[in-house]
Order: sequence, then C-alpha cells, then structure tokens
Amino acid sequence: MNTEESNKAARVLRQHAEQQFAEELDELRKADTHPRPANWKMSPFAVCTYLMGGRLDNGFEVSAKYIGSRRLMEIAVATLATDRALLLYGVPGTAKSWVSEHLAAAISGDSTRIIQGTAGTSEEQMRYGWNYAELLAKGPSRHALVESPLMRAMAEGCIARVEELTRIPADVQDTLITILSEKSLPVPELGEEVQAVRGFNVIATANNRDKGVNELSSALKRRFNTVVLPVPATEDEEVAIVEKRVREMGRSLELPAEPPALPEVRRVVRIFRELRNGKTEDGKLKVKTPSGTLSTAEAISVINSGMALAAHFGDGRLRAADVAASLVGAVVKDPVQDRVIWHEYLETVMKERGDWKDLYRACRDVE
Amino acid sequence: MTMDDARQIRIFGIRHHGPGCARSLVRALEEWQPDALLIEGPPEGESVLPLAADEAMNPPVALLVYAEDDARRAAFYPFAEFSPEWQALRHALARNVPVRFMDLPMAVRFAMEKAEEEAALMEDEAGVGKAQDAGEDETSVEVADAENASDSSAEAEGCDLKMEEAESDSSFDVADPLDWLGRAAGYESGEDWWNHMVEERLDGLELFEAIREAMTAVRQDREARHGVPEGMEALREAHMRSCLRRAKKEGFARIAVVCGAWHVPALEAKVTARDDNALLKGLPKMKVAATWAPWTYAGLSVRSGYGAGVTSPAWYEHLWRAESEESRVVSWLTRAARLFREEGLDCSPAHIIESARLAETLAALRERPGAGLPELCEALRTVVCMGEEAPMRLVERRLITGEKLGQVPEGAPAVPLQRDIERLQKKLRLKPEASQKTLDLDLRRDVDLARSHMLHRMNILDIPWGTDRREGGGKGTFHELWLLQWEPKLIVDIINAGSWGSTLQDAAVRRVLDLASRAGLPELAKLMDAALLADLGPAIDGLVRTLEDRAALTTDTLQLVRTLPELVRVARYGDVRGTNAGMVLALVEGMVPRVAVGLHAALSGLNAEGSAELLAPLRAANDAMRLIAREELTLMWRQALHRLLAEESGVHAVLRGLCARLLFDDGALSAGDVETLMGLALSPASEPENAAAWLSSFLGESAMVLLHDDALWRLVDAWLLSLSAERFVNVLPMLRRTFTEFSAPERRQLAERARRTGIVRQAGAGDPHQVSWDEERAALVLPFLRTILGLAGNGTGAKERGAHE
Repeated sequence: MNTEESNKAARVLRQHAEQQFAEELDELRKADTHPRPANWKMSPFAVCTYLMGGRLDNGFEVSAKYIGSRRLMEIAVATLATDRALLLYGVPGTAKSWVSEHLAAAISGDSTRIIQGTAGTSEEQMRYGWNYAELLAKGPSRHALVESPLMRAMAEGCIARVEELTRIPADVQDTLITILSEKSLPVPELGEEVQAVRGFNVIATANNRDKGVNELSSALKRRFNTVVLPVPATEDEEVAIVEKRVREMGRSLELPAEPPALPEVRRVVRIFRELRNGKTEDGKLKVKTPSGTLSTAEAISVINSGMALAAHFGDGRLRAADVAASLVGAVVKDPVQDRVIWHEYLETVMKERGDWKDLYRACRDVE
Repeated sequence: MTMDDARQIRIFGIRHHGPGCARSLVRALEEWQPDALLIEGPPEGESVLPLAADEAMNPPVALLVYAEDDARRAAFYPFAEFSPEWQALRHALARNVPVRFMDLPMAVRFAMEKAEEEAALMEDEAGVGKAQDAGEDETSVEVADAENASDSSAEAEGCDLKMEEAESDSSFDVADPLDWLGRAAGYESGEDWWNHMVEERLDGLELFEAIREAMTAVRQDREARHGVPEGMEALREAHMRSCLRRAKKEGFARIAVVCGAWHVPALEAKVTARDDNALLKGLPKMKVAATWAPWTYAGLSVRSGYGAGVTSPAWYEHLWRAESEESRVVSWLTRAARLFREEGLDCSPAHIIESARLAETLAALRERPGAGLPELCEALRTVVCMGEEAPMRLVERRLITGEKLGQVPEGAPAVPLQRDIERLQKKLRLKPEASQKTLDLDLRRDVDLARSHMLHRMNILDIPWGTDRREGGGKGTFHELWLLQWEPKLIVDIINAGSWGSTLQDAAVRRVLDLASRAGLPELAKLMDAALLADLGPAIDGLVRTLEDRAALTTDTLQLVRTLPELVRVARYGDVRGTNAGMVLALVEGMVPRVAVGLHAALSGLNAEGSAELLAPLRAANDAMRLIAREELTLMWRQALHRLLAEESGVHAVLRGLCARLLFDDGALSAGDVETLMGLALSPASEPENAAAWLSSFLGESAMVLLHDDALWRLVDAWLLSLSAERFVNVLPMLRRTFTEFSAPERRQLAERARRTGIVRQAGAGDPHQVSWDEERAALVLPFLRTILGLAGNGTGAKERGAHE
C-alpha cells in the first residue's frame, strides 16, 4: 500500500477489515507454514488464528476478532476449504457480518465482493447487468456486460459475500444454485460462461428473526453448510466483546473521550442480558422481555453513543447520564409495551441495586 | 524388575473399555503367545470364566459378584466386545491358556465394607438415632449405582475399571491426570487426547510402553504430592503383586498381565513378598457367588454414574469393528444418515459426502491424524442439521451411547427365579429391552392378562421392570398402561428376590404373606389389592383371614376407616380381572358395622389438627360407601355420620361441617336442616375459629362445587339473605376467612354468579322460580321444540304443559 492510498484509507469513516488489520494479515502470511488451498492468501490454520487471536512464533500478537467458541470458527473455515458455501445464521447482532468480513479479508485479502440482500435485490445484481447504451450501440458483447460482485469473485477466485440472504426474494435466491453446484455462471446472450476459479466461495449471512420470510429452498439449503452463531454464553465474554469493540471504534471515530470504565460496560451488558434472557443474572427474579433483540452489537452502540455524549457535551468521562439516553432508546423499541417493561425493570431490578442509584436516576430523568 | 522378570512377565496397562487398547493388546498377545494370563478382576469370577467362550455369550455383559446371604451387596465388572480384558479373555480361552483374576477378592471387600458400615451404624445410633434408615440407604446406593459413592468405599465396589487415577480418591485434588496430559498436548480434555492418541488409531505396538511411561510419571508426581497410596488401593495392588508371584512360582514361562494402566507402576515396584503378605493377612471374608448378567451400553457410559465408564460406548464399538480410517468415517456417517431418515429428516448421500469431507478438513485443520467423534458430530450438525442441536441428540442416544443390551448363555449360573422369569418372558413375548417402551394391555385378552399378572408379581417382589401408569391413563378398568425398561441392575433385584421362592408366583405369594404378617390394616388392604392384581390366588385366602382377624381385634376405628376404600375398590372391580372378590365383599360387610359403632368415639375429642387430617379418609370412606351401594350398609354409615352433627357430640367443627356436607350431598339432610346447622355453627356465640372451620369444610376444598351445585348455592345464598344487617357484619370475618382460601379466579366467578342471581331475583320480583311467562309467545316455539325432541305426532300434552310451567 503506498502512502497516498494509506492516507486515503486513514480518511475514510470505516476501513475494511483487510485495511484495518493489514499488518496482522501480513505477519500471519509471513509466519504461515501450513499448506494453503489454491488462491488462499493464507492457510486455514492461519485464518483461525487471525479470527481467534494468538501469538505467532516470532512473538507477534494477533488480536482476537471473534470472541467465542474456537470450534465454530474452525467449522466455518473448514467449510470454506471444502468449497461448500457457508451460511452464518443467528439472531441479529451476533457478529455474523463481522465474521464474514474477516473471513473474506483473511482468505482472499478482499472483503468487498459483497451483495447486500434486500427485498428489492434483483437477478441482475446477483448475476450480471447490461450497460444499455453500449448494448444498443454495439449489440451484446463482453464489453457491454456489467459484472456483479459475485461474477467478479468467480473470475478472480476469491470469496463473495451475500448479506441477509433471507431478505432476498426466493426466485432470486435460487440463481445461486447453479453458481454453487456447477461453479459456473452462464451468459446465454453471448453463448459464454464464466467458470469459477479455485478459491471462489460464498459466505452468506441470514437472520433468525427473518425465519419464514423468504425461507431457503431445500435445493439451496443443501448447498450451504450452516454455522449458528450464538449470543455470548457468559456475561464476562459479552463484556469483553463490548469493551474491545468500543475501544476500537472509539479510536477510529477519534472520540476524545477516555475508554469507558469497565463497571459501566458491565452494567449495560448486564441490563441487556437480563432483559434478553428474561431473568436476572443471579436467576432469582423474572423480568419481561422487550420486543427488540438487544444484541451485543446494540450494547456496543449504546456505549459508543454514550462516549460521544461524554466527549462532546461532558467532561470526557463516561457517566451514567451519558449511557442512559441511548440505553432507553435501545430497549424501548415499541413505545407502548416496551416502555411498560422497561419501567418495570427500572423499578423492580435497577432500583434495588444499591450501587446503581446513579444509573437509575439518570434513566428516570430521560423520560 | 529384573531382566529375568522382563522375559517372563509382560504387563499391559490398558484403559478399561478402550478399543484401541484392545486392538493393540490382541496383536501383542498373538505375537507373544503367553502361557498364562492374569487379569485385573475378582478371583471369585474364575468359576464362571469358561462361559465367556460360549457362543451365546453376547457382550455387553457383566461379571456379577454378590454376597450369598445378601444379594444387595453386589458388584459388577462390565465387559464390552471392545474391552481389552474381554478380548484377552477370549484369546486365552480359545487357546486353553489358564486365566486368573488377580484383584483383591470381593469376599474381602464386601466384608470390609460391611464392617465399615456397621461401625458407621454404631456411630449413627449413638448420634442421631436414625441408624436403620442410614444402613438401608447405603446398601441401596451400592446396588443402584455403587460407583457414585464418593469415598474410597466406592472403589471397593469393583467398578473401578477406569483409568484408576480418575477414581474418587478424595485426597487427590485434581480430578484426572489424563486431563493434565491432554491439556499439555493442547486438547480440550484428557478424554479427547486419549481418544486421538490411543483409541482411534490403528497401529501402535509400542503403545503399552508409552502408556507405562506416562503413568509412571503421573504416579510419581502424585506420590510426591500426596504420598504413597493407602487403604483399599494399597491392598489391591499388594494382592495383585502376590498373585503375580504365585504365577511365577508355578513355573509359567510367559505371563501376560492385563490391568488398568494406573496399576502398572505399582506392579513393577520393588516390594517384598513379606510386606505384601503382612498387609493382606487377617482380612475378613464373606461368602460370595458369581455369575454373568446382561449389561447395556447405557450402563457402560459415564453418565450412568459408572466410575470407569466411557463417554461413547457405541462409538467405541464402531471403532473396534472398523477396518480402516476411511471406512470408519464413512460407515458411521451412513448409519447416522439412515437414522435421520428413519426419523423423517432429510439426509441424502450427498449430505454424507459433504459431511465426510468437512470432518476430514476439520481434522486436518486441527492437525489430527483422522476425523474423530467431535469432528464427525460437528460436520453432521453443520451440513445435515442446519446448525441445530436437537437432531444431534438422537445421534447421541443411538450412535454414541447406544442402546445395545447383551445376552448371557442359558447355562450361566442363576437363581431359579431368574430362570422362571426368563421362561415367562419368552412365553409371554415380553422381551427385555434397554430402551423405554410403553405397553398397553387389554385385560380381556388372555395373554395381556398374563402379562399384567407377571408385571404385578415382579413389582410385589421389588423388581421394578415395569411402572404401572394406571393412574395417569384412566382408560377404563380393563386397560393397563405400563412403562417398561430393562436395566441390567434388575438382575440384582431378581437374585435378591430369589430367596422368596423359585418361581415368580411362589416368590410373590410368600413375599405378600410375609409382608402381611407385619402390616397394619390399611397396608393389608393395599396388599390385598396388589395380590388380586397379580392373581396370587393362594395368598388371597391368607390375606382375607389376616384381615378379618385384625379387623375384629383392632380397637382403632380410624384404621378401619382408612382400610375401607381400598377394600371396596377391590370388591367392586376385582371381578373384571377374573378374580373371586366375593370374599372381600363379605369382609366389607363385616367391617362397616364396626366402623359405624366406633366412629363417634374415635372422632370426639380430637383437636383441630388431628381432625383436619381425617377429612380425606372420611371423604374416601363416604365415596366407598356410595360405590358399594348396599342399602343396609349405607344406612348404617349415614346414621353414624348423623350422630356427629350436633355440637354436643364433642366432635370438632371441621368434621361436623364435613358430615353436614356429605349427608346433604347424599340427600340425607334437607336444605332446611342444613340451614339450621349452618346458622348454629356460625352464630355469634361460637368461637370464630370453629365457625370458620365448619364453613370451610362444609364448602369443601374448592369453590367449583359451590359454583356449579345449584342446591348448595341456593342454600348458602338463602342463609346469607336471611341474616340481618347486623348479624351479617358479625359473620363477615368468618366468611372472609373461608373465602380467602379459594383462588382469586374462583372468588371472582363466585361474585359474578352472585350478581347474576341478584339480577334474576330483581327481574323476577324476588323469586327466580316465579318468572312471568308470555304464554302466547312461548306457545309459538313449541311445535319446533317438539320436532327437535322427537315428540312430533305423539301428542304428549303432558310435556307441553310441563314446558309451559
């Protein structure tokens, strides 16, 4: 990467994984002694190390990208190595896209071959479109063809990502079948086809909550290996995730605030876990569950916006009042029902905790 | 160990139930051709050893050693086909090589255990005084899951066939040294590590040398921390060493020793014969017997509480049978696929191909030589199950733990009772199965009736093969629902019950009569019921006679009251089962007058607590009297209840309230009478507590009857209305007390009903029965009503008029 590019990269709001962790990827590649599948930038073993973190033989420290079960990541990487497509499945905010991006960055060195699935995703976006001016002027030719990210990934032999697969209409989804089983994309207009180069594969993400919206056909299902990403198993794990992400994002957003104090993060995580699991962490009290998903990702953004508040309107230290504003917004998604649930939680759980008085009052003041 | 020894003796340290060990062991034995084989096992088992070579012997089986005078003191040594000991045994038997078991005799272990228990008992007796219970509990634990007991006596159960370092040695604080080794090698647990290093590989004759070294290191470390082992472990190892010495003296040239890897260093240790003999001298002994018993894979798994268990018996069997690594993966996945298909889950050959590829890639990624169980399970879950956990539980139950039940040859020594049960099982086509099964019996069919008798008899003998689900089902009296599950440990119960007789029927009869000789009246009635269900004809006469005698002699009327319902049930329903219940009826006829006479005396003077306990038995007795429907008996009963009603009877209010209610329900008291009684009971002069007790027992436990029984409702309603405003306020606390016992929804319903009645009353000018009819309009619907009721053309004028009114 030359200086101009790196300057440009420094200016962007959010860097791609392969830019942000370029150094780590580089070191891993250098230290990698395990066999690599064709067109992979590093061995499956090194990809796992990149995701889970660890110390290389030369003493270089690789940070953890995914905090959770190593076995799940191994399954994901092994799936891609067998040239089966990978489907990451889970409730919103369980780091599906995050894992997908880092997998693509580590394996292909490029996480940008991406199709965002929406209800309006069309077949052209999945396969290829036409430059109509060119098409009318010169007739169908390779020149007039507009390649989709998927098509480009096939030609280059790298990983393509499909986000929110289940949001895509079923008939459009099924265009993936040929690509995944024949590993080729025919272009009948030209009498040609694009055959996937070794190293090509697809990582799709899908959402538990969308179940039944556009259920995958069984033909398509059969072409995916499914890895379910769970919500963090323990409070400590979740606190670690939130803290780490907040620190990283604070750095990239250049917030002048101090990194958040651990107790504050722990409180937010506990509130989220308790509301999500329907009972207090000590298991003694039942609480109602609000309609939102209350994922780890949301906990991260609550802390983040709290930090922004503290930086720009406070003294730079994250305090209860800074957290409270976005906390209420994250929990209360349905203005009627969720508000009742939130109030109940405030009065029965938070109020009782002696050292939570400041947060309790701050939350009451927000109303 | 001297060089001389090294040529004469080879010690094979194994892991119990490890297929990799078994494979290597078989190869080593074939190569070395030993002329004597010593196995870590109870010497008492040697008498039944030849049976292991029998063709009908089908593992998993267990060598069962039990104390002759008390079969509850028993120990199992389970063997699977893939157990190294089993393979060594078969190898030696096929070549007529003498086999010895060299562990400390169970005779000694049982005796020591008993001594310990007795000592504990003495302490208990001195201390808590619950000695009896404690003693019984402990022994039952032994049989049920001997391995669970957490002190060193668990070891004494002979179920220590694991890597023995993991045993429940309380002085050993880190659970499993295998875990240390495993973690040191970068595995998640010692189990995973051992599986990969030993059980899942197909080569490795140097295996035993490696195991020996590892165990020596671990033991040295442990001894450095905790000192030399003492107690049972020391005794056992001393005994093993002296067995080895004896074999040497007998002049065998090549002695193979197969024992848990943990013991290898101890057997090689330089300990003099004198030291060992001193340790073993003067140990107590007990008479024991040995036999083979069928075993299950579930019983082999650690989850059953078996200390030396393995986590995946069915997987180990698969490992044992598979020829090569590839065929092992593919054939296991194929079996999983068939299983999924059986259960209606999509699983095509393509799925299996992909699973196999993923499993192998995973293994490569983890730098393992081949795909092991974790990789296979993860592959199945990812490829076939869409990442879901639930279908994998099926795989776990069927393909990892397994449901296999072993078989032993007919010639195995067994108590006659066991033979009789086997004969019946064959005759009635009731196969013992390890999985749980429901059995729906239609008692009108002969074979089902016989099955029911058999199961009931076994229950009388405390052999819990089947659980009677009659209560839950309620399908009628000629149906019985049983839940059957054969557990290997039942064999202990059978041997135990063998002391009662040599056939199932004889044993059950004797057991019932024995119980009867000590039972109180209510238990006698229950026994009677059980005996009738089990069709124990010879016992019934005896039972009836005992019952009669007891009933005549007893001074405790309340016992008779408690006995009545059971007997009436027997008399009423016994006939369905083709048993003669006439005798029981005669018994009931004799008992009711006794109850009627004694009831008043028995109930008067009881305090509130004692009286409250009697509510349920009295209700049950009243139901029984209704059921039997014999006028003269019912009359006697009612008269007895009548005598209790008045306050002067000295009976507590709670019982008087109940009597009033029972009699009112049977129509033996008019509404007017009850109103008077209620007024009296709730008058301001009576103690508020008594008044509330009367009312609550009169209204019963739930408000539902009050809600739906019109007569009762009107009665209470009328009584309430009759109160003056002042009285009402006085009574209110008692009413509140009673009504707060009802649940909130019940109270709400009561209030709603009260309001409804109120409205009707207003509309109907105070009396709901005098609603004014518009005769003309009512007449309009009559033809149609007649059609509906099928009265058309009959001209039943009387009914028409009835409708008008």
